[in-house]
Amino acid sequence: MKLGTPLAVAAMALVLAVAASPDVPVLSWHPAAGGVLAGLAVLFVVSLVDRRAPRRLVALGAACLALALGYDSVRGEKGEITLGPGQGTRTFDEVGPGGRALGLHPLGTALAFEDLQPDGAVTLADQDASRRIRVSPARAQTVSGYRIGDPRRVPSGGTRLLVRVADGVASEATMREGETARIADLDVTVEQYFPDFALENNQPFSRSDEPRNPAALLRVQRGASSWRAFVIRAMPGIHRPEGLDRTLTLVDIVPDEAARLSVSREPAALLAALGVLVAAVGVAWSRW
Amino acid sequence: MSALGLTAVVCGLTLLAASVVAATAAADGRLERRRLARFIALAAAAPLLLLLSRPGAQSFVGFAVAAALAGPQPLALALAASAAVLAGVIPTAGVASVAQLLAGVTGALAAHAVGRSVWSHLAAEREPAGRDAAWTASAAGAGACGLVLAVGGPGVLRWDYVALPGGASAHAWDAGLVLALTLLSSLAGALLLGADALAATETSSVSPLARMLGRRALLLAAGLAFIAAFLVAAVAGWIDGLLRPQAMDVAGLVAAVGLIGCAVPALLAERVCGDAFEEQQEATVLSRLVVVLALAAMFAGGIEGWLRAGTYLTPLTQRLLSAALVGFAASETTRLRTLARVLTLGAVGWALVR
Repeated sequence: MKLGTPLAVAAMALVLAVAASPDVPVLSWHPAAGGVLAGLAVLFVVSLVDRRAPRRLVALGAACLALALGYDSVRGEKGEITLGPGQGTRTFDEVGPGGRALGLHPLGTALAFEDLQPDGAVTLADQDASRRIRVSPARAQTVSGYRIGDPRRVPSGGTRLLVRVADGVASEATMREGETARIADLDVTVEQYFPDFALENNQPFSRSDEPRNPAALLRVQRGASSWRAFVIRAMPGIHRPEGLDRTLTLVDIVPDEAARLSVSREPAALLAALGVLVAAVGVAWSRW
Repeated sequence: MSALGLTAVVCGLTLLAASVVAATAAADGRLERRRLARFIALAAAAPLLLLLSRPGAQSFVGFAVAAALAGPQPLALALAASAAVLAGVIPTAGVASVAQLLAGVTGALAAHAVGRSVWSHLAAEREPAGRDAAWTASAAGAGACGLVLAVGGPGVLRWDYVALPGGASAHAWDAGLVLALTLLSSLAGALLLGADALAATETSSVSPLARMLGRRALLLAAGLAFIAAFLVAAVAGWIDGLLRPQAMDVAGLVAAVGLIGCAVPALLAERVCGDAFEEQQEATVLSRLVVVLALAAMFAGGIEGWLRAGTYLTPLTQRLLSAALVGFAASETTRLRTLARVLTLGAVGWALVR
């Protein structure tokens, strides 16, 4: 079968269409899939070249696009960074074609997490360039040659406990396991946190890491006196240690949130845009 | 549901009516009926422009308005009805996107290309004594079956529909029952008409009884799908706003109604009027235009992706590239053109709803 026949061109276009779809992970099927697709793309471009000028334009556009996609998949970089409160990084988790994890890749600068806003925007500090950058769902930013964008909220794994002390007037504070907070005139420390509290042989333990039945062991200090209190979220307002004229309540748990951002460097992006435009002009110019 | 959402649903139902009128006009060839269909479609499309302010609805508004503007083509108007309903009930979250809008317009033109291709096929086959609209009606019934299965999933086979309003699963046996009956009815219609068309040799129909039963089964399926759409919307809580999957379910059922609604008039009339050559020429031009528009949408999507996500290779641009390639394949081939155009419509539709 000749390469330039309509049937051959249509068949190649269909195969490339399947490979281009993000819903069919062709590149992850076999390490050689990328090479086969590159070869098919070359054949497709060659099959489009004929004497007619519009057709040549389509071939030129397809060649530019194929070249750009190939170059960006080989020389480009793609990955993610996940940053929570107080965290910073000089690297990102790189992923290769087909979503294969390639390990850590230097970012070229030091980024520190500053703030995660309710609208999903993240403020980062570029410490090497001494500037702050704001990455929102509607606006990516360039940092040392990389485009950073698409911020998403993800649980960071940590949990803060919202504890209330009441003696007619209620005061609240949030703290992590091991932290101490001043609530009214008391120093309250979370000694141990049980996300999924249960008892076995009269010993508390957690059945899982899921916060299904959160409970905590608290140490309460006022001057030289100290108490230990066990609070369960499912039983609010009943925990009053003997000798302490206050009620302790585990009001709720607040999961810590981190921001996950996409990092990418695509040096051939302009070539890809040019290829799409040229191909569109070529198709529009073709015989109707 | 907001007033704007309700307006879109009403516009969607009006487009559905326009689709049936257009199908009737195509069957009897009356020009005034065709003009009426065009007028109804344009009247229904105009208020939809108000929904362009909703980021999540832009692509579907683009689809519905472009389908109405491009002419009274029954299939395109049926799918436009589904898109209009979807624009009204889908959550409005997201950011405005030119790429989505262009993708919607591309989808509408792809639907026009498929519709014109099918009508050209039907009109051509009326000239010699041969087959009739039973094949397309059977395909519409099969399409409706697929849509009902996509909406209800395997639960439909157990007479059940599971909705997830607010993240909690809710079983709706009434919706499940109607969905299962829709499935059975459309399957019966598709099989009866398909078998009759397959058995036909020189006469147009081997068994008038099979044809009559198939036609009635399809009409029953259309009615049941219409009821199912309301039941699914009710169980998913459309007063408070539907989640995206439930909005898709409702739109899928409206599309099923539209598919059957635009296929049955030709079957009832036993003929399709029109110039087969002209319809095919227009379908060819539209197919080429679909590729150009898909590439333009991809270009816009690449720029938006670069500005917003930091990469031009977003899932939307990849799907649009895929749709452009399928469309290019469809515009290249001269054999199986209708099937290739259906594939293009599917690829663009997939990019829109994902």
